[in-house]
Amino acid sequence: MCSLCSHRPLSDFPSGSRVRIERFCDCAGGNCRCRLCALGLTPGTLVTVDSAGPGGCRLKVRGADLVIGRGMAEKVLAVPFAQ
Amino acid sequence: MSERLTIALAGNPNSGKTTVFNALTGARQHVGNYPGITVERKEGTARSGDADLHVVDLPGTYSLTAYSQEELVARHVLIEEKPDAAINVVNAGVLERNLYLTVQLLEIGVPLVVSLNMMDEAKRQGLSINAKRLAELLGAPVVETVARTGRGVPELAAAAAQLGRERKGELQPLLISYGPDLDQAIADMAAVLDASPAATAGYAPRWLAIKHLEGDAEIIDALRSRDAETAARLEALSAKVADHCHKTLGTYPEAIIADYRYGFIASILKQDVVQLNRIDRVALSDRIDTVLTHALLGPLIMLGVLYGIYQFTFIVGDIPMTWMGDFFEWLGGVAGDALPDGDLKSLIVSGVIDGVGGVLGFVPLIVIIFLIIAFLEDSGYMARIAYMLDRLFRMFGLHGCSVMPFIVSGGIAGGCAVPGVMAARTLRSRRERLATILTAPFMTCGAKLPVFLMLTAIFFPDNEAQAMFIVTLTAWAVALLVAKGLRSTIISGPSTPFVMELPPYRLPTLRGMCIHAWERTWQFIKRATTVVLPISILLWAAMTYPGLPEEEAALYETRREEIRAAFQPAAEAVAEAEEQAAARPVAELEDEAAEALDEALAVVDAEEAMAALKNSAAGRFGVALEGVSSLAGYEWRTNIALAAGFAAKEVFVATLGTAYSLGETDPEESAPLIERLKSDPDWTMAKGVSLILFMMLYAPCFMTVFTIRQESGSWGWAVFSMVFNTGLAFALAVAAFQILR
Amino acid sequence: MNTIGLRRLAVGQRAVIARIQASGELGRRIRDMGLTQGSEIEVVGRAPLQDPVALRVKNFTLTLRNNEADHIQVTPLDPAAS
Repeated sequence: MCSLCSHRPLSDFPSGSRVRIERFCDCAGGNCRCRLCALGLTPGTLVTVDSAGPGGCRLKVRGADLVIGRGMAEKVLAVPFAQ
Repeated sequence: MSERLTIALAGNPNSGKTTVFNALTGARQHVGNYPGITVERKEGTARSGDADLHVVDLPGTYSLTAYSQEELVARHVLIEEKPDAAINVVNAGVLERNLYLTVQLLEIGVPLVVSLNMMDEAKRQGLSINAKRLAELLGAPVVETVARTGRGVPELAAAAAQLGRERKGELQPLLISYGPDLDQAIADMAAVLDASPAATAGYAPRWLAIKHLEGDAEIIDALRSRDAETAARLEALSAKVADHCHKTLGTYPEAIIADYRYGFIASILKQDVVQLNRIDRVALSDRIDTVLTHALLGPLIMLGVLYGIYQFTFIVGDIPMTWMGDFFEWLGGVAGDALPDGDLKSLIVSGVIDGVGGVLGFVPLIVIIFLIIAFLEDSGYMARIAYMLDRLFRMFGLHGCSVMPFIVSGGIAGGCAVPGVMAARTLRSRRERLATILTAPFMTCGAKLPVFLMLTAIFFPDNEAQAMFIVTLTAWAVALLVAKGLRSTIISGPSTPFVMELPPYRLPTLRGMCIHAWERTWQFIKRATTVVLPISILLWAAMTYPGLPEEEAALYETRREEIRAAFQPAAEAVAEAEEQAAARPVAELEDEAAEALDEALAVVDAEEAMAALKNSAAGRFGVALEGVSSLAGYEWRTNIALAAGFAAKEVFVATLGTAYSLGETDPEESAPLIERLKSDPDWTMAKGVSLILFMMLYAPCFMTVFTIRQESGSWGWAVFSMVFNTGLAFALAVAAFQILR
Repeated sequence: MNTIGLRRLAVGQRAVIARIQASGELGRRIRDMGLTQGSEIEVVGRAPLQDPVALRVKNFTLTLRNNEADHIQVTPLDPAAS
């Protein structure tokens, strides 16, 4: 965990948060990373977390709505971003 | 004899693919399973002219990775079953994401027709899509459809049949560049594969190489089982480039690949494909910009705008601020009358109402400033300000986008550093963000304003506006110089890219402005109630306890008794004498006498209050600091007021008023305090300048400190801002005092 | 085909992007803005201090610092530079 920024999993952000993806958790395997990138969740991308629950995490990415499982959401590390 | 063509149907979930399938095949559908797995296989037949189309509906997918069964099935059908053509159903309202799959299909090279579906929805969103241009740029025919109503479906089928006839499944892969780092690796890996037909097994080498770099588990495993030696060489190449990407770029090959695909899509969309009726507005904006960002006129206009805002804010803001002041005074009065004398009353009136009221009294000013800032942002002018100032800001290690946090924090006098520091999030580079966060609190925020107004009224009575302007400029100068210092020493490093769009000018909506302004105002209010309230109470306690020792209090009480006693006979005597000499009613004379009595008593009360203050915890603290603070010209009363300013800067005025025994001093009505200090020999110009400098620069108020902690991620920087700022402020204050006296 | 650095274009000049040599964050920002090989651009202005530069790309305007523009090689479209 970087001490100068606060990387948190996507699933940890409250509804309405605007975040920026920093990197993936080290436990994310190749397949998982590939899938996340294909969905548009690449490092540097801005995402709005509509809601995060035990079932899934609803996001707005690149102009589209997306729902990913909580397990996957936990592997994406992001920091808060406003505007 | 009709020909039979196989057409695969691919698309995102929710793109309307199923509706297209139904529209094409009607009741002639059949549902089964792919062998060994639970994914459905839907097939059907359609007819288009002379052709019998065997349509295979692939599972809805966002991409063609090895992540899920659905994606694996989709790509198997496409590559191994070799359909004559494929139809990609795309949701026109969400083009960017949908086109990701399209790009993958094009990279495989299967003959593709794009069904631009849900066109009615897109139109409703105000989007107008140029299908012809899209087709040109993709290199694939595009048919607009509204599958729900069946519109465009026959044309779609015809286009697919036509393409199938022409190409007969022959692959024509789209070649996208993935950048210098990956292109070379892809070429190398493709070459290795080219030399080994056993490994490729009929797949295109370049496609395999790209998939390998993406970490595709199915491909990697298949290669290993087909040709272990080649697989090992490929894995070595892949590992090498992945390592390079991680070390030099801090990212993964699959992320780079995805980025380049999205970049490809973005470039297509921006080339006239999608419009929100912007073209005319963009041309107009460009023309406006030739004036507004002109080399000479641009900065002049900008300064004029900022100065105009400054004036507007004060003139218009004054009225509601007076109302707020009056309201809290009334509230204080009500509480004062309702509560019995004593500590509780003092706590409520002086601690709570005055403390919190002082801060909340600024809400009108804050709201106005934030509304204006929202106007600047929403209209697009703020982007021009960042554009014009970038070069200048870069000389100080900052970024054009640093201008927003500065302005919100009080760059044009009046604002708040809490939302200002938060606004620094737009700076993507940690270093510039940190430098901005640490220097934004130097700005003249709404809380420091009453202090500056009071001080300029005392020391520069005829040139207040100019003095305020100079104060504001000084704050900017110090902020920029300190930023430069920080960026050259403890937070040095390269700057953030300034790739930024200049949005077309538009007239902001009142609703939008209010929403944006309210978000920031709310933060200011939260600060007042959650931080200032407990601190006000603490301060009140520190300034009240310990109270005057009994003997001293008794002395004051004795004086009051004496005064009352002296006035009793005097009042009567005066009344008698005057009544005889002149025709003035006794009542009026008695009133005059009573007033004189009250004034005399008030003097004693005030002296007692001041003595009590000096004796309190806060007072003793102020006195203790005098050894050091006198270097800058401050005595114990100023010290207490400055210490109170740690909580909220505007509290300085009220505290100073109390310390100078003027009872409760309202920040907007500091006239009595001003008069008092003007005639005080201790308050020299040197002290005035020194105090202005110190107030401008010393530690940020608590809420700002909390916000700095939140935005920087550690208490270290928050504490640094308190210590460094105070140290700098003190150094400059001492220098100013010593030089000027 | 003559290519020159983007920085050397004059205001009002049009050109086609020949090559982009940027990686990492800068590269991603440039790509996300839709600037790729083959895009046609026009220099619509420069900031008062001559830096950054404002470019028109079809239907939107974007700004770029000179030292970032240096990563982009272009082929001018107009025969003579002004």
